[in-house]
Amino acid sequence: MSDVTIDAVGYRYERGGGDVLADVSLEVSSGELLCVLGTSGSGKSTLLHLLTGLFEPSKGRILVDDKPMSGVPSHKRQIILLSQKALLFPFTSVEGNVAFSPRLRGQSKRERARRVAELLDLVGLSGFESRMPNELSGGEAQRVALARALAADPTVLLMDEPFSNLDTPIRSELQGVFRELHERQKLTTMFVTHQLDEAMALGDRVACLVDGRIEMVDTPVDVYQRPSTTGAAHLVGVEHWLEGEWHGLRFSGPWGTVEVDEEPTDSGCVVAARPEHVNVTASTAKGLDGIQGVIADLRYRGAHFDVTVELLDGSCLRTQTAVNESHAVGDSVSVSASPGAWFPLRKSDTEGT
Amino acid sequence: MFSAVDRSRWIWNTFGFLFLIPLAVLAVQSVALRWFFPQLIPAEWQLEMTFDVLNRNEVRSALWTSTVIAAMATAVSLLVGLPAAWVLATKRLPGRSVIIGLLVSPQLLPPLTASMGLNISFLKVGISGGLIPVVIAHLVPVLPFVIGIASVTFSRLEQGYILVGRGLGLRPVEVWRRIIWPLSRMGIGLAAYVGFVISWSQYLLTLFVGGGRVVSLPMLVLSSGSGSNLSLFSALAFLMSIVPIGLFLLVRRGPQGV
Repeated sequence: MSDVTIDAVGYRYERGGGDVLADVSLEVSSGELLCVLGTSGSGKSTLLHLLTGLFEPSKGRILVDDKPMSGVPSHKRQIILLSQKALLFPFTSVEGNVAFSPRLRGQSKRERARRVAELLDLVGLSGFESRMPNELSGGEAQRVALARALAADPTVLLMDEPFSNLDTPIRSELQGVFRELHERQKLTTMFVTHQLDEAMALGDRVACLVDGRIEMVDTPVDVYQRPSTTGAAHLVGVEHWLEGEWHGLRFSGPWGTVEVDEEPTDSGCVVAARPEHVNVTASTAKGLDGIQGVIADLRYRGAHFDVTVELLDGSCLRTQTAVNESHAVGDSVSVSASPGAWFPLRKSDTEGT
Repeated sequence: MFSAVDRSRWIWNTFGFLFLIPLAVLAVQSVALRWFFPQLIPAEWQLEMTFDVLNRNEVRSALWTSTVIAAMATAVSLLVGLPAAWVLATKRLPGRSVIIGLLVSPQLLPPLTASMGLNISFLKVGISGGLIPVVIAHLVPVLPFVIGIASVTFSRLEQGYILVGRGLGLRPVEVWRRIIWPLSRMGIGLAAYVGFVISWSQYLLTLFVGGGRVVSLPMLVLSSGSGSNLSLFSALAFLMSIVPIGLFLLVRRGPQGV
């Protein structure tokens, strides 16, 4: 187990182009599982490749247990990356794959067999020793890849969306297996994903990576309930926010006024609420003093409807309604939320505020 | 109706049969004394002359010369071609298509023109008339095939394996030995086999660049073909064929890679 420090790291490809990563600073404590949540192209995989040593940072430094990684070759870092593809060696059995690293270290046949059995048991594949990689399902192959990685006794484990190629039930099962395994092994892990549910389910903390910048690092609950920037909000399903002016804890715009119970960090902050905390009512209903708008989009999601309401000034808000509520696109509605539901959002740097 | 397996087996058997017909005719002809159309099998047989072929000094010498030239040309082309194929398959290379074009260009000329041109070039720089110049000349037709086959093999190789290997603690050279080699040995074996056969079959290049002093098996086969002894010609041609076939079986029986 090791601490990882990523200190003001930047990266840009030698052949040109903009910054893939800019001023990224992260601390991963020993035994912590940090999820990096980001969209495709946000720089997640590049960040991991800087840790493996495939790329060297253009700026900043990376330290593992306070030891700078600059110039340390990949094979000496004891940092292992698991990617979307299991990449098992097709020329050897499951046992051969898992025992690959122990054999390199000169462990005896008996020691290797014991370690392989122990690791296969850990990933729930006891008895699979003699299977060949082409006889395994995608989920089983990923489990073997995980066992093979653990057999190398890494100090840091990097996971680059390892379950994203799998069907939803198997992905969910493997997330459970991995979380349990992490609880037992307490291996310092960075897990990058673009899937919100995965980041929420696995991470001790979640870092939001937006266009090569870390915009927020916090517990899954705080990231989900109170994203601090528009970029982080986007990643956790808050896709719309209100523009306006601050008057203390009141925020007003052409669409109306809302009460917020949290001070904005600067006057440029906008306001948002989680869709499930926003209520929508037919505007003919009496006694409601909400924001007025018209339903612009309605999507059935099984457990609820996603409703997009276009406000008077053209901005939008997303809400969720129960499936038994009857609304239609074009209906005039009133939107409201409790003061605690609204929160300020700092505009992301990339939005050029 | 045929199942997919039956169909595949049937197709392979047909191909195998068609492939074996000329070889079988050569084998029979090499032990036939009198065999004229429309006889299905020879009217008279002989074995003496056929077995005598291997005992002839010029045949043994040509067999050895051909083997040495083909083995050396294959070895050198693997030594030069594998790194080149790796770069072509895995790196962004400016002028990649120009390099491939240059490699392939001699194949676009008639063999006689290419061989004579090469011979004249070799004469001008004073490297003609020996085994080594012949090996160097054979690289011209051999290298493009070795590079081409190896390059396809390497481009099919998942580059993530390198990272996996490095992560598991392998130095770059060990990644090659323990991961890339087992994953690509089938393709590299095929490249070596094709390279060997191309060199093994060269006639004009050996004749011109060897200046008549280097006598390979194809030269012997062709010169015997111009004579009247059909059995001798068939025995030599058969001999010339079984070496590549033996090699092919060796490559095919080798361990499977990707």
